[in-house]
Parts: sequence; structure tokens; C-alpha cells
Amino acid sequence: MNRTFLNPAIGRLVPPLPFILLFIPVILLTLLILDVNPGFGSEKKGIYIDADMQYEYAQQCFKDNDPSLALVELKRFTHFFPGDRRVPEALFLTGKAYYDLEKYGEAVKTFETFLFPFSEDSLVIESYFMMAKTFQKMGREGKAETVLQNLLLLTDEIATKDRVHSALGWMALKQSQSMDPRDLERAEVNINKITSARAQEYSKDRVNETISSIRQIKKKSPTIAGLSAVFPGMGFLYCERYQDALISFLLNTALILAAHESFDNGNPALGGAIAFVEAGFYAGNIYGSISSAHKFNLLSHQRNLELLERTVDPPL
Amino acid sequence: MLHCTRQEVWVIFVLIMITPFIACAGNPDVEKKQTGSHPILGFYERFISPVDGDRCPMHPTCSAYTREAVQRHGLFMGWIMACDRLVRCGRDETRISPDIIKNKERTTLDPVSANDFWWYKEP
Repeated sequence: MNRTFLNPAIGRLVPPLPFILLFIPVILLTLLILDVNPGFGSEKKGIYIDADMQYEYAQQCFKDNDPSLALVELKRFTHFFPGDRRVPEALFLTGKAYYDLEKYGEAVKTFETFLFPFSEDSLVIESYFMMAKTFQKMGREGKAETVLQNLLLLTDEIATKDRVHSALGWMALKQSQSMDPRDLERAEVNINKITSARAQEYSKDRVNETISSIRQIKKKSPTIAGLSAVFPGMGFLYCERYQDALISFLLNTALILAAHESFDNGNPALGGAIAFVEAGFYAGNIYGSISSAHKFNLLSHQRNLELLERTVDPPL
Repeated sequence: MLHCTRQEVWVIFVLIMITPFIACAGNPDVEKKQTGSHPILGFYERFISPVDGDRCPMHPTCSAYTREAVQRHGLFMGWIMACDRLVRCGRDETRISPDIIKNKERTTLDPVSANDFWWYKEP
């Protein structure tokens, strides 16, 4: 007789006892694994990133010269940890990343957020300098100068004032490449305003030395070059371009003689054509002589500035 | 025996003198792509430059320089600047101006802006 307390229909669904005994350890093992590693099998795997880890990684990206990645990570930091004490610093670094990526408009917008209200906080001061540097890169020297002049009015710190004077002096020195003597004067005035306590830090003597050596450069007069070029080649000769002078002399002489001969031999059409070509080369000879004098002066000026930049780091 | 008049000798002499300047050609492929704004420049770039080859030691090439000068300052000043460039091409300028590498070859950088900076400011 088949004795059972279960309904026979249900009994058929229950697996046999040895099968159940075999599965018990498997189920227990699974439960043990889940207990040790709660993330196991769940969708939220991986590590949890806190504010420190995120900020350190963003800084690391900066150190690794990867401003585009640093920008993303800094934005992630300010988004997920808006209450963190390092958010202003992260924002400043965001501006720097924009600057490194040559997104100057965005950089200016970021640094601008630090300017008001003014305080002697290092981030605020650095933002003024970074903003001036960005405007300089954008070719807006006037704006850069205004930013620094504003800082000069607002700050009471002598160290900051010295740094501003040094930066303004350098800016004027670079602008002096346009050959306006007033720029050199401005550079000198600003450099000499640096206090003696920081004269060495900003290489005051070395910059002053460069200013005086630029003043002593033997310049070529564009007027003399242009006037000498009336005699073909002489303008180039004055600007120490000997090969150009020879070619200019030979070519112009040949064309003038050829035109003269053509007219002399009753061939005005040919003479006119040659004279037309010669007019261009003659005018080109005068233009080139004046241009060469300007280039000579600019090159001498740039050489002095390059020498200075090789020995002294510009403050901006 | 070949007999030449003095006038013919002068014409030949002038042509010989001008030849090296006309021969200051750029890369024909590049020049073809840059359609000349002026018919004479267009003619030069289309027919002369490809035959003559890429031999200008300056960057931009003399024809490209001329085109830019004409576009910037008009035909009159462009023509004067072009004549000035032809005289300077490959001589003292290579000693004075910076070098750049173009098509694996060293060329001298001498753009229009390096020669008009003293009287023209870009708007």
C-alpha cells in the first residue's frame, strides 16, 4: 500500500529526497557568497567615489598635462560635491583648463566670477593675473592692462603691487615692438616701481638692462633707406642686405637700359612694356628698402627681448 | 650666320633676366586649388606653375604671396609688393627670417604680414 500524507498530485511535484539533499549545500554556499559581497549580482557594482578621490583625480589630470580630461573631472566634482570647501579652487582650475585649451572666452567668464567682491584671497588675486594673461593671449592688451590697473587700485598688499608693476612693465616691453618709444618709457616706469625687497625676485636690474640695450640699438632709418633706394639697390645696401642690393641693382639697370634702347630704336610698344615692368621693380626696390629698415629694427628689438626671456621668466 | 640687331639682343637679355623670377613657382597642386582672384595670377597658377614645378624657397610661394598682397592691398600695392618679394626671394631673407618645414623641406617664412606690419593693421 502506498502510504503518504501528501496528495499524490502534489507528491509528484516534490523532487526526490537525495536530490534535495544535494542542493542544500549549493544553496547555502550561494547565500554565503551574497552575504560576504553584497554587491555581487547587483547592478551597482564597482567602487564608491568620494569628494577627495574625485578632486585628487582631477588634479592628477592637470599634472599629467591633460587639460581636457581635467576639465571634465573638475566639472564632475563641482556637480556632485557642490558643498565641498574646495569648489572655489576647482572653479579656478576649470578656468585654467579652459585657458590651456585655448578657450579664452570661457576662461575669462570663469575667472570673472572671482573678481567681485574683492578680497586679498590668493584665488582672487591669481584670477586677476590669469584674466590679464588670457586677455593678452586674445590680443587684447588694453583689457589686460585695465585688469591689472584695477588690481593695483584695489590691493593693499605690497607683494601684489610689486607683481602687478612687474607684469605691467613686461607688457609695455612687449608692446614696444611696435617701435613706439613711449612703450619703453612705460616699461621703465613700472619696473622701477618694484620695491627693493622684491627687486631680485622680479629681476629688476636685468629688465632695466634690456630696456637700456634696446634704446642703444643702432637703428636703420626707413626714410634714409627709402631715399637711398632712388639709386636701385642702395636702400638694401644700407639695410645690410647685400645680395638683395646686387640683384636689385642689376635688374633695375638692365630693365631701364632695355626700355631706353627700345625707345631709341623706334619700338615704343616694347619700350612701354619694359618700362611698365621696370616701374613695378623700381617701386618694389623702394618699398623693399623701407620695409627692410623696419624689419631690421624689429629684429634687433626682438633679439633683446628673446635674450631677456631666456634668462628671466615673465610674470604673466 | 645668325644676325641679331641690338634691340633683339636686349629683348633676349631682359627675358633671361626675368626668367629666374617667373620661375619662382610653388606647388602646382596647391596652387591649382587656390583659384586666383586675378586673371594673370590665375593664368600663371594654371599653366606656368605646374610645368615649372615646386621650387620657391619661401613660404608662402611668390605667387601665393602676390595673390594675398593683391587681395589685401589692391592691384597697385600688390604689384609693388610682389616685385619686392621677387627681388628678395631666396636671398638675404633666408638668413634673416625664420625657417619652417614644408613638404619635408626647409623654407623661409615670409608672409605678407611680415612686410606690411609697419603701415597696415588688420581690421
